[in-house]
Amino acid sequence: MTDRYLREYIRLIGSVSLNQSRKDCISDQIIQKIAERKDLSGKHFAAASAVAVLAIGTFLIARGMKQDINIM
Amino acid sequence: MFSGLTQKQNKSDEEIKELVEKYSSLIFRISYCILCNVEDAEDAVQETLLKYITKAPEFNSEEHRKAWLIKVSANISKNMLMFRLKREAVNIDDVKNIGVGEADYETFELIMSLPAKHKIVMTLYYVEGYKSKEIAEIIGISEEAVRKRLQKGRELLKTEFEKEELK
Repeated sequence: MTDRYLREYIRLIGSVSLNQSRKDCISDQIIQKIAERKDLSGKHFAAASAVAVLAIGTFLIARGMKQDINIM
Repeated sequence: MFSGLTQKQNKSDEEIKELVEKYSSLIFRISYCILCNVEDAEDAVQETLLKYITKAPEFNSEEHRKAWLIKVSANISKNMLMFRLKREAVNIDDVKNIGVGEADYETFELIMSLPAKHKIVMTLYYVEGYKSKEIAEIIGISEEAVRKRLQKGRELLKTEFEKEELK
């Protein structure tokens, strides 16, 4: 049998909820955080691309120099 | 364009709003039982849903999805609690905004004074309607431990109410 203490518990904890303005606020914050993450990921991708281009360039230059030395 | 999120993770603003509408109160209830603080519980709701969107896990049923959200929100809330130096009392001004009527403040405060580990189990069992076995799977304890926590929680609740009535 559910005693009255338990009934009070169910009633009060069951009534705990977020009102519409708080829900809207949470939605806006999530949308903003996701947009920030996308922006950050884009920047990381650009930085990683630049590093890769530099590494390949350095490798090609080094190989070219080595070939020049061998010719001489 | 490279976005760092897969197509499955790339939810529209409308989809995000729907997610918040559908699950935020459930997650908030669980987090509030652990944290006893509206602002922190709202942060836990936000973190849980962000994790859901970015991880985009696969679920075979709606119940499975809800169980995942409860588990993650409980873990996030427990982690948040570890960073607190002292346990906070229920803030009556905050309680006004979460659906608890003025006449119930004292009773609500009394209920919230129970240990979080009992409140979670009692909330999942009596409020959300989960079975002992399901609760055991969600929070990662044995079924026997769930039953013990339910029993202890009921006893504590009764003791607290009786103490209050004697005042």
